[in-house]
Formats: sequence, structure tokens, C-alpha cells
Amino acid sequence: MASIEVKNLKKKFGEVKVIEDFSLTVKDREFISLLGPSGCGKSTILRIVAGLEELTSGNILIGGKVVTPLEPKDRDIAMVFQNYALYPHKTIFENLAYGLRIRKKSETEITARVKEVASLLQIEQLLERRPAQLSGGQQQRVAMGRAIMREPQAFLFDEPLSNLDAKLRNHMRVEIRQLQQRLGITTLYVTHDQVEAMTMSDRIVVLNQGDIEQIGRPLEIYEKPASLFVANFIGSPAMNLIKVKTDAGNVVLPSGSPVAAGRTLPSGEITLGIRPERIKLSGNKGAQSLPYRITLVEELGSQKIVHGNIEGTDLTVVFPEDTALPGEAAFVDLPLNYLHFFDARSGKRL
Amino acid sequence: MLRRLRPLLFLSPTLLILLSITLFPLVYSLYLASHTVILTNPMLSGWSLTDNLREVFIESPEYWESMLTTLILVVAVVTLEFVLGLMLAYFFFSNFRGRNLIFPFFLMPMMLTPVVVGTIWRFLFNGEFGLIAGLLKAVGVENYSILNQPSTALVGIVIADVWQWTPFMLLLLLAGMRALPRSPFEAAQVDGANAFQIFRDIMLPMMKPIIIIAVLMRTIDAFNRMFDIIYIMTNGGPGRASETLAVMAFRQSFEYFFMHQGAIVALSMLVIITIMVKILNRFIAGRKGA
Repeated sequence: MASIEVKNLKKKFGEVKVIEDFSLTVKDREFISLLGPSGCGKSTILRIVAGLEELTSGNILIGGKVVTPLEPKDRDIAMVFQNYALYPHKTIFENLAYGLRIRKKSETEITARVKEVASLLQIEQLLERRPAQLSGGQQQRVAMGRAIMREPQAFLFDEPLSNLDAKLRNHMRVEIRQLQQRLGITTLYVTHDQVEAMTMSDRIVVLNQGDIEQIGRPLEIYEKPASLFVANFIGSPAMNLIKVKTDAGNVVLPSGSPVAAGRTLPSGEITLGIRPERIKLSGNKGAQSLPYRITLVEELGSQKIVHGNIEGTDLTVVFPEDTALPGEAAFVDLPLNYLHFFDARSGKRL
Repeated sequence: MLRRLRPLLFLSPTLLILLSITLFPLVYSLYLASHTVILTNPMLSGWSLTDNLREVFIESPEYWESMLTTLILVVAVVTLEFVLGLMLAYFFFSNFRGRNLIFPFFLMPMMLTPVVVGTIWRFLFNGEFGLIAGLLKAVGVENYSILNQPSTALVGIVIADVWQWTPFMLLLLLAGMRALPRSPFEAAQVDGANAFQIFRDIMLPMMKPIIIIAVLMRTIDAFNRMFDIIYIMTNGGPGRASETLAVMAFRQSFEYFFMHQGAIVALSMLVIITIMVKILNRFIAGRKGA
């Protein structure tokens, strides 16, 4: 097993800069997700680590060894692709065996290893079939099987679950994580799905237009987003973000209502953030309560997503399913310790 | 009644043209094949199908010699065109500067008519003033032309045909290569395969359907068209050294004026080609169904 180090990576496609200056260390046995919207450069970074894409400048180290000039085959990594990339003309057995065949391993060794991996992934009964005869989930398992066949130093995953339906995706998420923990292989995982990143990773790297917005443990990123972009990107429904003005320890909502900030803030315009699930919605007016008008309720079964506004300012609230919603006269409390503040211009956390 | 006839009425000009250019020659060649029709002796006539068949297929070895010549040529040109076409396709598959500039030059031979191609190569191979003879003269060989030797005439024809039709293979195989999904190649790279292993183990097997279609199409075409280049370059000679079935059909009909024998050779080719087309169609239909 080994660490993956990316040092000062820059990548240009022609004149277009895709990645400005990216550095990251994935520690031995660690599971790191690169999370970001489409086109943020996360897959490019992964493909550069794999050696499938050339970098403009920078260095890649795997297990402490510089692999930048090496071909993918010499990097001792395995990759799982979004569309599985199985060899369509080969049986599942041969798909799994190909990497070892190239390395001229003995037939007995290959057969033993294929059987071992197949049993680990519960695909023993599929070995004689071809990829086209398999379901999406089965193909995904084979792709993972192919990745672990050679016992590589590191796993690279390029949005491996995005072609699966929601139920299967949840299932495979658990499987991949369990497998990674059992084998203890260093993993770099690319996804645009925040749930995948949150549930599977030891650490998450949030990317935006080729730059790192934040690196941290999943809860850290959720509880303390480093920027407006992260605050907005992580969490569903998204964090409420309201442009406010500061006024002596208070912030003032667009309507003019003051909200206690509980700390000193730079004067001028800033952005106030609060997660919908942290807002307290009730029918009783407290000391700090603000009047709230409900406009729409979405019933999800496990919870309700309540849309409404405080004197014209939109605010989404997550409300428990088993509690009755207050009527017309509703009030919200914004708890002090769950308020986030961001610089209106730079978007950085205050 | 009129409603039913109306479509037929609209279709009739096309049908008439089609029938006159396809059905009539077929029926007429069936007539020729089953009668004695010798242009130099119009007095001979009458039904003689079995005699004609015996003459062509059993009594003289010429038909089978021409069949062998045709098969040798078809196998040689299709094999060479496939191998060269595949190599060129792989060459043009990779990204290099100037690719789009030189690619059209490789397609040009295919755009010439076979008569022009035949003439170019006949001149090149000419023993007295041909370019190749000139080069040979420099090393001391005087007045040599491979087209004049019965043992090498076929080689000259193969060279001309390969020069003209390799671009066709290149075009089909390159299209096939470009249509392949990219990710299995990348997976093989990560799996540890080198460029040759990827070509042999991944690319070629994935291209199998297009390879079969390209080879079958070219085989049918070569079998069918082994006439024009040969007619221009050697006219089947020296002697009968390069006389394919198509050239034989022509010479029997229009040089010796044994129209019935020419018709039988042509019809035998029709049968063979129909069988090959059936195989091709079945293969293409099978791919669609898969």
C-alpha cells in the first residue's frame, strides 16, 4: 500500500487553464473523494494521476516514487471507470485475468486469483458470461474485481456509481467502502454526488473550477464550510444564504429585522448562512423569533421540506414528519451556534 | 379498381427502366447460355444447354484455370489490402501533426477509374519506356516488364489493384477504429498492456464485425471486378496467364464470338456472387439483431 501525492499540478488544454495549482496528499490506506460540479477538473486530476492524461507541470508520486514520466502500466494503480470499460469480447473470467496474463503469471495462479476475487465480490456464477449479458450492478462489480486482481498500490475511481439506479447506487456505495476498508487500499474517488462523498470518504476535497475550495473530514465540511461555494454545494436541501448588513453585534435582514450574531463581524454587507435542518419552526413566538410565512410544503415521507419567507426573504426549513406543522402564524428561530457568515465579496468564511 | 392501379401507374416508368436494364439482360443471357450463338456463324442455332455446359465446365480446362486465376488474385489482393489498410488505419488513428493534410492523398487512388489506374500501371511496368524498366536498366536489366512474363503478370495486376483499393479498406477500418469506445483501451493501459498488446488483444477483437464486413465487401467486389484493370494491363495475357472469369467471359463473347460460352461464364459468376452477397447480408442482419 502507498500514499498518493500530487504536487503543484497544472493542466492546460491548449490555451485553456483547467487546473491552476493543485496539491494533495492521500495518505496510506486513506479514502479521499474529489467532489465538485461537472467541469471542475476532478476527472482530469484523476486521469493525470492514472497517467492517462499528460500534465502541463507538477509532479505525481505514488508510494513516495515519482511516477510523472511513467506510463499507466508502470504506475501500479488500478482504475474503475464510469462506464465500467470492460472488454466486451472477453468473458468475465478473461476480463479479470487480463492484467495477470499480461504479466505472464501461470495459469494456476491466474485461476486461483480470479476465483478468490470472484468469491470476494460474489460474481463466481458470472465468470463464463460476457459483459453484455450482465446488469449494470454486476458489471460494476466486475470492474471492481478487475481493479483488485493485481493488488495495486492505489485505487482510482472515476464516478463509478453514476450509471446505476438510486437503489443500487446506495448498495454499491456500502460495498465499495467495505471492500476498501477490508483491503486497506489507498483510494482516490471522483464524484459529483455529495452523498457518496459524505458517506464514503475519510476526507473530501471540494473543487471549484480547478481550485481546491476546502479539504476536510465530511462532517467538518458540512459543519464548517470554508466558503460560500462549499456551503451551497454540500447539503440537501441547500443551505439558506441571505445577504445581510452588520450592525453592532447584530445582522440585519433585508426586511430590517435584526438577528443576533453572537460575535463581532466586519461592518458592511455579508452573507448569512443557516442549514434548513437547524432552523426551529414552531407556532410559538420566542424572544428571538421571526415571523415566518409558509408558501409550500414538500412531503418526503421521512421529513417535510417547508418553503416560506421571513418578511419577503426566502427561507427553507426541514421539519420532522411526525410533528404537525404550525398554521398561518408560524415563527422561526435561527440558533446562534448554527449561523455561518461569509464575506460577501470573496465568499470566504468569516 | 382505378385506386388500386394508380400506384402502379406512377411506378411504371421506373419499373420499365429497371426491368429493361436488369431483367432483360438476365433473360437474354439465359437465352444465350441455352442456345448455340456464334456471331461468326449465325446459321448455327437451336437449344443446346447441356452441350454448352459440358463444353465450358467439363470438356475444356479453361474455365477452371480462369477460376483458379480469379481465386489467386482475389485472395492475394484482399489479403494485402486488408493488411496494408489495417496498418494505414492504425497509422491515421493516432494523432499527429499534418494528419488531415496527408490523409486525402492516401484516398486518391480509389477515386480514379480502373481504366486510368490500369493505364498508369501499364506505363509504369512498360519494358521499354516505363519508370520501373528505367530503374532496372540502371542495374543492368534491359527491357524487362513483369507484365510480359506469364509467371509474374499476376504480380503486376495485384500491385495495381492493391494500390487502387487499399484506401477502401483504410477508410472502412479507420471508421471502425474511430467508432470504438475509448475506455476499454484506457482500462487495458491501466491493466498493464503495451501498445502492441492493446492492438492485438483489445482493438482487433473489438473490430471483428467491421473487419468481416470490409473483407466480405472487398472480396465480392474484387471477384466481380477482376476485369477492367486486367483488360487494360494485360488483356488476360500473356497467353491466358491473367485471364480471370470476367476476362474469360468477355473474350469468349467478344473476341472469339462464342456468345453462349461467355454467357455461361458470366452466369456462373452471378451465382457465386449471389451466394457471397447472401452471406454478407446475413452477417449484417445478424449484427443488427445483436
